[in-house]
Amino acid sequence: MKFDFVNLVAIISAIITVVIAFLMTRDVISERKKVKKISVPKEGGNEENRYKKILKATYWLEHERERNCGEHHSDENVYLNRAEVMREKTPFFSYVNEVWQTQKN
Amino acid sequence: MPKKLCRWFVANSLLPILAPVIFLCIVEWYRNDAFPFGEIFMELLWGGFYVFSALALIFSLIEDYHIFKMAGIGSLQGAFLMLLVILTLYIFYLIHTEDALYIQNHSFQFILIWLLSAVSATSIKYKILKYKEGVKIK
Repeated sequence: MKFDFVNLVAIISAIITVVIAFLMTRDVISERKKVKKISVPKEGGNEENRYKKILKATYWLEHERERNCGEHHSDENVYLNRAEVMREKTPFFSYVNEVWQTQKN
Repeated sequence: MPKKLCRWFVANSLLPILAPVIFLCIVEWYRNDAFPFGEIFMELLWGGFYVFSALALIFSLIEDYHIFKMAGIGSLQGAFLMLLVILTLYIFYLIHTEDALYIQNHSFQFILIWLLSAVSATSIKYKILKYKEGVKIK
């Protein structure tokens, strides 16, 4: 092989290509390891936690009369209506209500 | 991000070569009922088309030149890219001035230089995409 300028450049190019490819591969692998460490699975997820909090809050409201031994409103529908209005006001509340009703049935 | 990187690479390096080849093959198929994909591909390739592919990969980075520094791409890497452009143009000059035997004997060396351009441009594009994902720029 005649050693001219193009051959010299090709050899240098091959070396630099290998070095750049190696550095990029190492960078990609380290990034993937970082992402794996950061992404910890949450128990139940965000949606389930929200649903449980809202269910708990509306359950508390519905049974307020029982806890106050009838001292506030004699008609328990006042408390039930409050809970219903709370649920119907936002889409998530009405979703919770729907799920709760399904579970009850 | 790997999908974006692959899409960018295919659009800038392979499609500029494949699109004219497939077009010419379709024309040949209508004329002579032949589909000489390999022959036309090699003819265009050694005619200097792969030089365009290397230049397209490097010049496509101009779009994101304004975020080079923020993405951690120094002026040395920019200068290296310019050097690759000059080298690629020199190869184009050799293809059009030297004889076919010289080009045939140095075809592997030309491919190595194309590979260097492709890998360098890909590594810089990877850094740019990584920076954009980090700051949620689309």
